[in-house]
Amino acid sequence: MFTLVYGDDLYNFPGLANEMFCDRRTQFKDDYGWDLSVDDAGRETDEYDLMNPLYLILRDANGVHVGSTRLMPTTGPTMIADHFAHMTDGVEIESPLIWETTRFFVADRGANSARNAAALMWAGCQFGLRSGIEFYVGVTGAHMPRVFAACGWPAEIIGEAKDESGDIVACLWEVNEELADRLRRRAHIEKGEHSLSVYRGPVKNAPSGPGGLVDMPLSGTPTTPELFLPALV
Amino acid sequence: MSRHLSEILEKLERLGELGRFGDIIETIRGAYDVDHVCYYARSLGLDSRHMDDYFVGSLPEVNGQVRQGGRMVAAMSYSAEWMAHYVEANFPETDPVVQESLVRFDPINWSELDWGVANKNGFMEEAAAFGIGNQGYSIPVRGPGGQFAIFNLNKATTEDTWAKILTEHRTDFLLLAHYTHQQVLKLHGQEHQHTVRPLSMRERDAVRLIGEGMSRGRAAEKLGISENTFRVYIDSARHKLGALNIPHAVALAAHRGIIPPV
Repeated sequence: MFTLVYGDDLYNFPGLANEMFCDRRTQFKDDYGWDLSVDDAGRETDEYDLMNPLYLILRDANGVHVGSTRLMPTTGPTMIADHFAHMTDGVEIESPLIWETTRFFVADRGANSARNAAALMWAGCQFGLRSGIEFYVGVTGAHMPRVFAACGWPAEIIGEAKDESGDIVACLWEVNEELADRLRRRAHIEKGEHSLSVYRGPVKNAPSGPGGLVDMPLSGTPTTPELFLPALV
Repeated sequence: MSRHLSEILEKLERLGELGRFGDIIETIRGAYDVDHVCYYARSLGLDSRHMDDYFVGSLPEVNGQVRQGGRMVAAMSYSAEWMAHYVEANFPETDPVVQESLVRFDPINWSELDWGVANKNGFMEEAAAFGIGNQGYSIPVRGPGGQFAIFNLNKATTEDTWAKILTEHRTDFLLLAHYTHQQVLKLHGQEHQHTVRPLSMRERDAVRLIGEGMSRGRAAEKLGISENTFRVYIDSARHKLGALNIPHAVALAAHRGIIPPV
């Protein structure tokens, strides 16, 4: 089953969030050796997690986190534009038609991992279609494109670099019906089986005020102001 | 997608200055045969001293009446009566479109929203009485400095028909939402201070080659990149230039001296 939840609503899924951030640490820090910060509870998070990204999460039949990725529009801050523009010919990718995917994770346990990867990719592709976007971009380890291709959604490599964590690549995925269909079949998902609706948190307390449009909070949960501001960029 | 967008640009050009965003709203409404189009910005990320109330509608009955909101920029085809009622009845407090747009960046199909709380106050019924469509689509737009706007389209029709319209046009709607927002910023002289990252060399090259009449494939080859990479670069350039489509981006780039005149 899929859970689509914004960062600001993640507090409604404390167990799941914990699993996701711990799994991220295991994969990206422990296994890949990326230089990432980890909190006392062993969770890997970075500044982009504080910018209200959309998490696309796959859970197994017991509700356990088995895959996830983090989505952000490129019209706001993104890793690829903020830190890796040198990999894309200096182009700071920015368009409402392009979203960034980062921290793509699929649990390497059990017999279902290939199918889970396809399922997560299908959900990303399908949600992209539903949102009218044309591409995803993202920077990841150089070994990942092979995994993406094996799962049925090959990434086009649009840039390569070497940093302290090793060889990295800037990837591009096209979003289209044909790919979504292919991924769906690979993941053994029936048409219309999953709705992919975004989790709606408890009704936010919008202050009144003329027009109701004035001085409304932009978030339901308090966030450190200096870290929250960039979320609006 | 771009046939409609080109028509919109042509119409706007005939109307004169592109900055008249009441015309944009009306042109979009006509081009996609929707009942209403509504753009409003809660914040343009401006210093509040420069942010006067601003309300624009191109229909005769839409006038400057709804001003008590303060620091609100809006352009919509809704009637002033509906807006006044909407405010008076405190609908924004429970309107799920407003509530959800505030905390999301993905576009929202109204049929996916929970209207329960709003409808306790008779929201949908009253909206329909004022001609607001029962099916709608809302696109949150965010930008630097706390900019936040919502772009809505709606139509009285069935869920299925609306789904078909969205399948066909949702990418256009996304482009139009951002384009409208950029026009509003331009009108406020904010374009350069707040919103636009400069074009990189590569983006300029991409725009220039298309402007010289080269096909996408040929231009990509010339730059030594794949066609999809080229699409990403030129779309970034299009967005940064505030253009609705690629020919428009070329024209704007030439006009601003970013590429040699075409």
